[in-house]
Amino acid sequence: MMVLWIKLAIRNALRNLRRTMLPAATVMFGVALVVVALSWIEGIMGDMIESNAAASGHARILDTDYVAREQLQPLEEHIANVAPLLDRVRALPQVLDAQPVITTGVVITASDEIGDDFCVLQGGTRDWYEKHLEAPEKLVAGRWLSAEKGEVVLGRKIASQIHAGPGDEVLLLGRTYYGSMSDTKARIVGIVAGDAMLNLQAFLPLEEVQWITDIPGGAIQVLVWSRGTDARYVGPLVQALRGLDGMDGLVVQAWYDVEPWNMVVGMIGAIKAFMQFLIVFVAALAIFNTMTMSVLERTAEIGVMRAMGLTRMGALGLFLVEAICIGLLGGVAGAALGALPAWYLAVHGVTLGEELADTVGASLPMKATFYASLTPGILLGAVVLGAAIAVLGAILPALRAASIQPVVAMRVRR
Amino acid sequence: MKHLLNFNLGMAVLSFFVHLAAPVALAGEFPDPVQLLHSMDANLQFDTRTSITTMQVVDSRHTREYRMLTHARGLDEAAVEYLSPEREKGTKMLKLGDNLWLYLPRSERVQKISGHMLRQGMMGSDISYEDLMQGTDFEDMYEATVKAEDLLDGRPCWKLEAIARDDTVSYPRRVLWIDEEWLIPSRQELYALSGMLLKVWTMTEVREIAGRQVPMLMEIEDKLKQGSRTVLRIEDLQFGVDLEDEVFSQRWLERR
Repeated sequence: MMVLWIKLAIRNALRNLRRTMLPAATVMFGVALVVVALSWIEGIMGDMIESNAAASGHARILDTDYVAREQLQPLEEHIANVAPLLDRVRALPQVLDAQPVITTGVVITASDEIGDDFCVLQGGTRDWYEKHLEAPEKLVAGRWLSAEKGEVVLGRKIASQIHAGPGDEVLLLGRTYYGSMSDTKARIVGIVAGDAMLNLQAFLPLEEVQWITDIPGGAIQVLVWSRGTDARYVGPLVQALRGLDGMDGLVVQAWYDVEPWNMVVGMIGAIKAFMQFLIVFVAALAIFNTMTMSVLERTAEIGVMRAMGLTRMGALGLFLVEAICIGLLGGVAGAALGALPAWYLAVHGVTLGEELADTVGASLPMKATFYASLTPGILLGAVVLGAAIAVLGAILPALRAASIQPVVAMRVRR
Repeated sequence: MKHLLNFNLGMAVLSFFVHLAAPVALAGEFPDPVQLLHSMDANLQFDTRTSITTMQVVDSRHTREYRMLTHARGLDEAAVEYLSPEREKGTKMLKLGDNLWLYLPRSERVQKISGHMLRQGMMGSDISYEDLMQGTDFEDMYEATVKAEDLLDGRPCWKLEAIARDDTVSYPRRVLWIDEEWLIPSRQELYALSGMLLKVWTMTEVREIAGRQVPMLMEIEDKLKQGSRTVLRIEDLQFGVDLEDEVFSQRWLERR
């Protein structure tokens, strides 16, 4: 039966090529648009999530009160002795790595005047900088921190802001956890460039920032990495961390539960869904129009077929299969058409420029160049979407065809 | 050479309100605000002074105390050295006119403080660097009116409202209670342009030293920081001290 439906569907589709091409082309362009847009959104999101995971881990452990006032960076809400906690965390099978980090705001200057240039100071271990942040690979000048004291690496933006480069001495003026002024001077040994957040940061060894904040042996947070950023890895990791001993007063957060990600992930999902809905709606209208015309034109023919024994389900299936054929044709062509610009964007990206990225990416690790990510999943999904559009658009006309009485249909003049 | 109240952590705010020496002249029921300020000035003016002050910074979780040696000459020259705690010991500040420098012993650097940092709290206290910098031209900056006669802690005070002539000042509106006998601003409320109350300054424990009425205790509450207050107590105060020029130089800042 299915083979017969397919044969008839193809015959009908080819019978009036112009009528068939219109919905197929609509589906094609809709699917192509979906492929390009989804690839780009996936690429941008993927980049940001990877950057965030590198900088902030897949999950984090920090003081409950710190989370409540995180925007104010309340250093007094820190983890005083982080070593025993790190040992317990690293012993968990779900944990690939765990690193202590202190992040604090400082005033920075390379001149004899101080007051207008602020940056985020990161205090981390060598492992965090090298394995996770991959900061040494982002050097655009100089070298990474050595074991020597008194060295600092700056983000490109902040270095440019204070007109300083490798070899220059800078003063970093921060505060202790109890609010007192605290300073250190260091020589710039390297400049890094990456996403907007990285560009506005300064990097010191953890011990130096522990001194500045007067939190010896402590940290603001412990960043934890599992096998991936996906919830199927991070969810069990978070559960395991929460079950550890000595977690009183501490909170464990998955990366996607941390601001702004808790909003961004939902927002991007909504944008993707809205865009798909819009394209599906427009393409489905075209299919609906075409299939309605087809049903009207072939009313007498349907009547004859019904008189010869074609059931209601048979008539319904005939039109739906025809629509699926058109949808698949448009879907495959659209996926191929969309793959070209998506591939180009994946390779070359679109550069928005440092300024815009810095403005937009002040709270997200956004890069100056946006790359797409073209995956087989997106292409396959787009083809299926094409078929789905066709079915959606054809369902009403097909139902109409199925409801035609043979006697009435055969009275209709051809 | 006569000057108004010098830069001094325990006394800095007073300098806002004192300019000229003149007796209070009553104009009807209330005194003339300008003359009221002049009289306050007469009580507070001096040539040089040296003091040891403790600054207690209290927030919702911690209380920390700093001890400071302050030298001041006239209105425009002041030098502060932190004596304790150990971590801050040797940190110095120098005010010369409209400029403020900081010496950081750990970094061995002298830095001029400017821009946004002037609005930050000194050592995390409720007193900003800007609070220390301004106040030399109160009469020019504000237009004051006496609003009422009021009682503050049982003492009669003149309540004044001072409106800034220029919107760029830190506190566009101030409400002051000036003690009628001691001629010191026992309480001040400092407001933003929006009308929001930013800080409350109070001065108590007034003692007569060298013929002047001097508040030995000052409390500053930053209303934007919940549970935060700074208490300044003058432990030792001497007027008319012979201060060398070097004290008010950048060389003094770097001298260990």
